[in-house]
Amino acid sequence: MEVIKLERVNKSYGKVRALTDLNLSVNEGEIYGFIGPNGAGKSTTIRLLLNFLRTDSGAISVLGLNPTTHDVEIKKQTGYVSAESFMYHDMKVSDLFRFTEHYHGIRDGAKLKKLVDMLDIDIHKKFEQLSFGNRKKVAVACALLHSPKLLILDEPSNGLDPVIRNNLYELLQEEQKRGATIFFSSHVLSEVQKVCTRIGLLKEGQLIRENNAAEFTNIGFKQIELYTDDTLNIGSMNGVQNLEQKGNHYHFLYSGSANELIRLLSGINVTSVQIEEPELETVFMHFFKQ
Amino acid sequence: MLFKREIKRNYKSFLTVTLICAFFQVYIISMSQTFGADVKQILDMKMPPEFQKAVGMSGLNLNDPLGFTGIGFSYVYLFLSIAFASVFALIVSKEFSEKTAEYLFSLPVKRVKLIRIKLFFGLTYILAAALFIFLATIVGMAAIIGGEIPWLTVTLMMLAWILGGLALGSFAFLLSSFFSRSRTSSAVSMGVVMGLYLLQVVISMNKDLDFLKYISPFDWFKGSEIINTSEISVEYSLIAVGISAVCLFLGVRRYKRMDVLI
Repeated sequence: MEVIKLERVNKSYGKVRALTDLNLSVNEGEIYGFIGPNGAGKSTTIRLLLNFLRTDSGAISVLGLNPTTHDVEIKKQTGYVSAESFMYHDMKVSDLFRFTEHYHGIRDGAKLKKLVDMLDIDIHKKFEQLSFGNRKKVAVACALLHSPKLLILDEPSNGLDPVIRNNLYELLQEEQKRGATIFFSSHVLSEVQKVCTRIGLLKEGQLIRENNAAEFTNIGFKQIELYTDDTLNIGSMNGVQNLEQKGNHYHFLYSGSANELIRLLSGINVTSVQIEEPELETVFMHFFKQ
Repeated sequence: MLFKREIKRNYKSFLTVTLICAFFQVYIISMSQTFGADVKQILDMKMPPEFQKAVGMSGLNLNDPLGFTGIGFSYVYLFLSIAFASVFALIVSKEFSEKTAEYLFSLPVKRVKLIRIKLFFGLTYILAAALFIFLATIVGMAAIIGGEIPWLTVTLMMLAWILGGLALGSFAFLLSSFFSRSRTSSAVSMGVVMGLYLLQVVISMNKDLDFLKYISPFDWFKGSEIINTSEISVEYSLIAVGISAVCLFLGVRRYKRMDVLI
């Protein structure tokens, strides 16, 4: 079952086009990583899913329902963490939890305790007394309180320390095991690679690449790091891209013939060479330089 | 829960507004005991009739303590209107400017219902404030003047505060849906209230502008008329209710469709 489905969705803010014919689908039980630079349209997509905005054209379905006509039904089954996580600043954290629970019609002390312990939340403080990272933790806990079928997380780990970040990943994986679908937007590409089962890359309001996380980095390039004191004229060679040189250090993506590369390297004094699959960051930059 | 939260958020402003108005009413009533029976003659020597009309003193029998309550009525009306306009201007717009709208609207409750809860709080605020000042006026009269309490007159004054305040509050609510910043909407709303009050002053001083009396709620209900006739205009009451209904309907419609952009 497709939990999220966008078909030819367009959205503009005045003359600025945020999304252009966006097609996207997320299946039940997936952790879908949604990546892209600022202004790519990630937050706009998320706000359309939650009926905070309306499309100019195209169709959206969330949990098989139309967000415009089934707003409440969708939100009953959805947990949401916004990028900035603004909540009522004058309320105590414990009151915020009670407020959220009240509108979800639940009172699950055990779940709340587990979230508070795992995310190390001080429930006695007022929201305004918390740091950005701690506010984020409260927002994450509020989103998970009612054990939703769908979690929409906009930069959820932003501001969290490494220990809590790992606890968050653990929580998300538990939620996935429970059967939840997770739509996860992030700038931290390594975490997307680590947590997500599928990744979509958004650029200027269009999905330019979508793959399984494992396949995502398989773009037909190898990442090569090379140290040599000799002069290396590799820029003009077939299959070389994104060449960066700092002194005797060369870094590039290579999709040409392996024999040709070995032949070239055999003619110079190579101090060290490392050939590996490119990291997500490299892939990301590769697509954005195109 | 949201209603409770609004109470917590607004109780300080509520106490400030109602206590100031209540003390003012009691002070005005006590003044009637300070001045002698010749207060009207003193006033006529010091103030031209147009000015007396403009500040709500015209047509009042200041030899009667109830006349003093009529002076208090105008100022309480103005002060309450400013407070109500401010509450209604901020009631939803603050969620947008403080960026909590995303959290609130992510809860599984219809946006219209959330706005209705907030408006219900606004209405409660108006009713409670008017009732509190009504009681203060009654207690003040009983304690300072004694004798028979003019229940009907004071009740009609309270009704006038409620109707006029509701019309101005509702207009402020509608206005707030046109501004992205709550501070701007609050400032504009208070500006509108002050402008309408000044308009009433100008109308009182210039008979040629009488046709403008439908625009300013401060011209709809006057202390002197309530005291002298023991009634409030049905026509203006219906206008107040009509304006409130239209403004609230349009405001809710605009907020219902508004993009949540943080």
